[in-house]
Amino acid sequence: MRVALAVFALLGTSWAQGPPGRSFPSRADMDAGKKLWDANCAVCHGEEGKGARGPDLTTGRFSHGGADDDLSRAIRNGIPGTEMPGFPLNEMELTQVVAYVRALGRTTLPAPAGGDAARGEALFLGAGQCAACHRIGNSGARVGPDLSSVGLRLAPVDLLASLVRPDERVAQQYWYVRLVTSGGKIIIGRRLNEDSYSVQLIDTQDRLVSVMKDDLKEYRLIKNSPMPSYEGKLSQEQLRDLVAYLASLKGTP
Amino acid sequence: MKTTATVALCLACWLPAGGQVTSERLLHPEREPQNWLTYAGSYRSWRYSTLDQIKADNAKNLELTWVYQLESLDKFEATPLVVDGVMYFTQPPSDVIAVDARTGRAFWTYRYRLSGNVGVCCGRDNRGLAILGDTLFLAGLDGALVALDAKTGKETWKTQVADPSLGYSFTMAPLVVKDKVIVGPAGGEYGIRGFLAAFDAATGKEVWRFNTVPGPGEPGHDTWTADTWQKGGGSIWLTGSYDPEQNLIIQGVGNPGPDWNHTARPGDNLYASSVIALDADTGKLKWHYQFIPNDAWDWDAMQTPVLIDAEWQGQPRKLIYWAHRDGLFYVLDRTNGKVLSGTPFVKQNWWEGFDANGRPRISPKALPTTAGTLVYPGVQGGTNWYAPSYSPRTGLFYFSVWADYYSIFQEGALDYSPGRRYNGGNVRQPLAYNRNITLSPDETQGYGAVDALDPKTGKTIWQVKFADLTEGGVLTTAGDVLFTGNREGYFDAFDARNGRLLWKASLGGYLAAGPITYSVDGKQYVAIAAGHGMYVFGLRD
Repeated sequence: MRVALAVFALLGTSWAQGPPGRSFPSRADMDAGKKLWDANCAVCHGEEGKGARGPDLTTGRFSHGGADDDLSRAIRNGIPGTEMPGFPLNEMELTQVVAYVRALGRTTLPAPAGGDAARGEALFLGAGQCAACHRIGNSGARVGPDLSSVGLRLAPVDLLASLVRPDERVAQQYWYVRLVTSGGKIIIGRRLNEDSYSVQLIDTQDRLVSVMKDDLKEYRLIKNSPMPSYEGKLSQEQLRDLVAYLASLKGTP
Repeated sequence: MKTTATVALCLACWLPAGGQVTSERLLHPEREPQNWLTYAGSYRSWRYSTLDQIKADNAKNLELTWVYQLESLDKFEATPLVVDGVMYFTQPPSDVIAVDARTGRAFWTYRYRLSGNVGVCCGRDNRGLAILGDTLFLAGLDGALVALDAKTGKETWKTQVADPSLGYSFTMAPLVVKDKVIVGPAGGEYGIRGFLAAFDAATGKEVWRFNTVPGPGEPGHDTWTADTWQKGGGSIWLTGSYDPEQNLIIQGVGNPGPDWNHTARPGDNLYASSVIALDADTGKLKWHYQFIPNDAWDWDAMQTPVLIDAEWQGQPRKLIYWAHRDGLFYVLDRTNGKVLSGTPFVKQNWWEGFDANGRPRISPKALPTTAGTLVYPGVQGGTNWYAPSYSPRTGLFYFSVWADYYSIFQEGALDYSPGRRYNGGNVRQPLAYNRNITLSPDETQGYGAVDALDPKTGKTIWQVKFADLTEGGVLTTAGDVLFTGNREGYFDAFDARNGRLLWKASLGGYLAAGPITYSVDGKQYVAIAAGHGMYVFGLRD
């Protein structure tokens, strides 16, 4: 699940000082992204992204990968075997266009409002099994992002997007690693720290684990979300309930 | 990865199950010498480890494994904890860091938000943490007790216990007994009224409180006159010990306030400068012994009580070994607080023996006057909070001393103002409290040393002198290695049997903390806080 806005607010990222990396876009970036879209993309994908010669980009589904990196790569390099050409944009411009594509995608989400927070909580703790990875207050597992105050950070529409399109953008501190030791032991968890010789993580059983890299025969960084999309798994009503509950989480004063 | 697998694996993992460090584990640290679960290594506070990979004959092969540099220039007095390969330590004033004990790489850091206006006499220190279940306990400098999730560093509760604007602060590592977290405030130089209090580990709610300066209606109140008890000191700034068989917390209590104007507070001033034994469930006083009635020198009983079952004059006894700031080594009976012996281990001129009840006969010539009185030991004491160690292999008690050291104590005016210093006098000493450059030692000024003392006789068996004074704690191991260090910045290994230097490392900064040892994957390490870094050593592979 994304914790986009909080990270952005905390870091107060200034893009003028360096490449944007995986920072999160501002309103000004969206505006710049729209200009780039109008100039380069609208001719094929339509002014509102609904598709013409190129496919509809508002559905949240992308046949060549839906993570930010995938979209950037497709825009920069084009997509072989299709009519999609590459565009000579710089890193900042790419991030801005991707931000705008995300904004177009939001227009097709159902209205997130009107859910019942109490039913959402029951779903979170019960059938949804959300607490198997997420912690709220002092209960739930720790391997996924802590959601105690997610309602302060994400607007309902972004909460909904996180539930149905969890891979869109996973903040770097939530990337997983999958490790296989030379003895064949598989270790999976959220990466906490890493250097040239070792990697630290919290594994799927909430243990703090440190592994020396020279004891690994496989190291894989997982940048997309280990959480599945709940689109189709939960009804529209259930999604709205869950959003209402998550939006109500404001931490402890 | 497949989320279904994660869900299946993890559904059980966050359900309450007593957590990682049960109170049973805390009772039996001898079953897991690879870990260091409490401030002094065990409830009886021997700071001794049965690990023996590092021995007297191979300690010369110690080498640096890792260093963790702090982001703080405050004095680093912390003892770390090690739990199943994870090391937890505090960064002064009150941050907490969790690192991989093999590499020093951080899992998480917790930054304490310090409220303004904290008055501290002697540095913005913190001496460590306690753990129970999956929760760490931190006593924050500004008087709040905090519980942190040991896996993430997230606060699970925070209880504001004492008011920092009145001079209360926390610097000690809390003590966990059963389901309670026990802590008391520093601030003896600020006219506080001390206490030791227990908090529910799950909720942070106060369960009991023992006032170290009794109020009206509490036993001992008659050892104070008028309203002197209201700012009578009796601070607590070092972790006590716990006797599970008697269910007693054995805790030293700080000096009475004002420090050096004893005539302003006539009476014995209980329970200042005493050891108290409290029922761990209720906080009720079982017994006490006052080392110095009406203490005039700021000689808090802020030393680690070392609990031992041993023969005393032919009888098996439950004892406490106590090297006190006042320059005497005491042996006490911990079933009743009776003093069995007291032997000076440094030059002293205040104590003239005990009366029939074990009360010290204090030399009137050593009491502070307005003109000034020269007293041995000096204000910092013959020893102080520096962690001692007891090795069952040698039967010796090891600790840092300030020998042949004096101060001139001057009684002065009372000057109470809330939250301000309340010393009632002045102290001058020939030894600078903080020296970055050690000048030629002068035998009239005293010296620092590590002492190996026979607790049966109180006699020093061997001693290693340092050029500078020492605030180092001591660790001994089953490899007969004694680790300590000093203000010169050396971290030393000595042969615990004879004091022979085995190995040393210059860490380049003031060392004022207690070492610990632990092991991970079968390799033994030694850790010490020094300067502004946590240093860890192991044998060359």
